[in-house]
Amino acid sequence: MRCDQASRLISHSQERQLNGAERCALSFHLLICRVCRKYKKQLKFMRKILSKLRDPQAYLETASSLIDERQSGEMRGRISKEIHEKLDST
Amino acid sequence: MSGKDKPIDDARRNIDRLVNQHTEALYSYALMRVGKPDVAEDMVQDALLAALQSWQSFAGDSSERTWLIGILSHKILDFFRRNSRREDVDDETWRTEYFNKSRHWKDRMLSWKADPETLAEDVDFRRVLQDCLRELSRVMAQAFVMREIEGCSSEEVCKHLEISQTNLWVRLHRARLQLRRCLELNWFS
Ligand SMILES: [Zn+2]
Repeated sequence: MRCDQASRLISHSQERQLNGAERCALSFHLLICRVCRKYKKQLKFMRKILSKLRDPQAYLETASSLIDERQSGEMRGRISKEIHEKLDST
Repeated sequence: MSGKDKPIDDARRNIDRLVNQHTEALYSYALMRVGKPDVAEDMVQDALLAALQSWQSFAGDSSERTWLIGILSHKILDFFRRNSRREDVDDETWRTEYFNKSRHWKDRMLSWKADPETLAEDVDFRRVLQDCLRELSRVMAQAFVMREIEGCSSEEVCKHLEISQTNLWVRLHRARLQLRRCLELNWFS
């Protein structure tokens, strides 16, 4: 097995149960390939960090620092105007 | 006097307060998922409008913010479904993009020395992550966001986007390769 195939199976292993032959070939490749071992670790890392963004709480404190004050003021103005108009027209 | 008010007037009084209190949080929630600022803003506007129109149904047993995020999250998933690209994606371009002729990695692979819990709250990292997610083509991004951020099962994602499982696996595989490279270049190097 080469790295391209291994990378595919590493990704698939996050989605489905690998069959016996796949598991066998992948673990052998991982034994001899440091790069793919790192890749596997990094995918786990990404999964963990992305799952942290599921929680709405994760957006409370960072929100205001991610958008600048002026932008955010303009956006609030636009949204509020649009909503007033849409409610008026119903 | 509130008993005499039409429901819509009751809602109207809340518009500016809702917009001022929640826009930023809703926007950053949406932006992480849809990538494009204009789309994210539309989603927030739709969600707030829907909230005001169903103001009576807000039971008050959850926080207002949680209620709004729930509405927003539905809007985003609807948007994904409406814009789903159902065709099969080409399975092979990733090989030459990420692997050389002898089928080894083209990328260097660094050790990522960081604690995911702490990093998730780092504003600068969040900005980089957001930009990297935005780089994913729509075809990959929707599936990837549903699977990894929303935590939907493979089956749920396939059903929602009306794509096959093999198709989903190709998309996720390519998204992971691309996001990994992007994060490594822009954050871990
Ligand atoms: Zn390898």
